[in-house]
Formats: sequence, C-alpha cells, structure tokens
Amino acid sequence: MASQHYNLFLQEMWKNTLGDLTSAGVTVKCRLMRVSAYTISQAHQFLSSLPAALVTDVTLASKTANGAGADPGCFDAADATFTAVPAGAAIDCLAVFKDTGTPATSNLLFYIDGFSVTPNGGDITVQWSNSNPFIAKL
Amino acid sequence: MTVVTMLNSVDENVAGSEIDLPDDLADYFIIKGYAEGQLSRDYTDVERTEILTGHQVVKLDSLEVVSLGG
Repeated sequence: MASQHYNLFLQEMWKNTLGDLTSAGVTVKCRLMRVSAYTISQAHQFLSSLPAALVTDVTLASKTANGAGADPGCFDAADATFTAVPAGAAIDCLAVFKDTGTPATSNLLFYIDGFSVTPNGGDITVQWSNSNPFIAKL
Repeated sequence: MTVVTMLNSVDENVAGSEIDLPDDLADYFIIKGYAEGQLSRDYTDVERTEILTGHQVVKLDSLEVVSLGG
C-alpha cells in the first residue's frame, strides 16, 4: 500500500463536519502500527477500524494548514515522540486521526507507510517532513 | 512532582504545555530534551547515557531510521 488520505475524511472535509483541525481545541493524534496487523481500506472512517494502540497515541501540537507557513494545503505539526515502545516486530505504518475520545466517532485522516523501525524498548520519534507535503497535502 | 514545559509532543503531553509530572518522568523528559524544567536531583554520566540509549528517529522525508544515544 502507499501513503494516502482516507477518502471518507475528504468527504467530511467537503461537508465541513470536522471543524478546524489545526485548532488547539481539536485533538489530532498519531498511532503507530504494523502492516501485518492493519491493511488500509478506503471503507475505514473511524479509529475503531484500527488495531489497538501499541503504545500511547501521541497528541500532535503546533498544527498548521500551510506547512511551515508558505505551503497552503499542507498539514504539519511538531514531531511526535512515543516513549518506551516495547521491543518487538518492526513498526511500519501509522495513522493520523481526529480524536473525539470515542473510537467510533474519531475520524481517520491520513495513512502513512514506507518506513520500518524495529522497536528496541526505547523511544521512537516520528520526524515529519520539513518540506511539502509535510505530514500530508490536500 | 515537577512542573515542566513540554518542548516536544510526547505521548499525550503536547508541545508548549506546562504540566506537572512525577519527578522521575519529569527528569526523563528533561534529560531527553523533550521538556524544560528543573531536575529533581543530580544524574551521573552513566545514568544520563542509560536514559539516552535506544532512542530511534524515523525521518519521514527520507524514510531513514536514525538511532540516537547508542
């Protein structure tokens, strides 16, 4: 699979039902996953479609809709650190979602793969791209 | 408990926020560079190295994985 938006997220964007995702009052999180445990489907809309969290999901901060300021349409945020990720099989995909506190209503936004990191029990920092498309571009 | 200001987003602790953490966790965040604050005690070089060991960074622009701190 390739990194992609969830189409049902785009649908909700067009319907303006998600609010300002860059607002401090809206919680957007990132979940680490394994492709062996999750296959992206464009039928997936909510967090309840994802496997259980391997570690605590990271809440994204400093969210912007214009990359570093000059790239309108690019979603960006401060890098995300997951602490003490249990050693085990490689982690090779992640999803970004709007957290409502209820998995059945927390919209999935983006799916990103193409990397592989084997957790050693230490921390893992996901360093988003510092140029277009940053985390993702619409 | 120790008050720290988060510099990075770590787990559910959002960058830019000021939070109250147990001393051990606050010290861990400060030594890692995730937060600013006052250490609750002095740490030896060995202790610092142990805390810093095992950190990996996934760079999504290049898809590289970099190990930090040994």
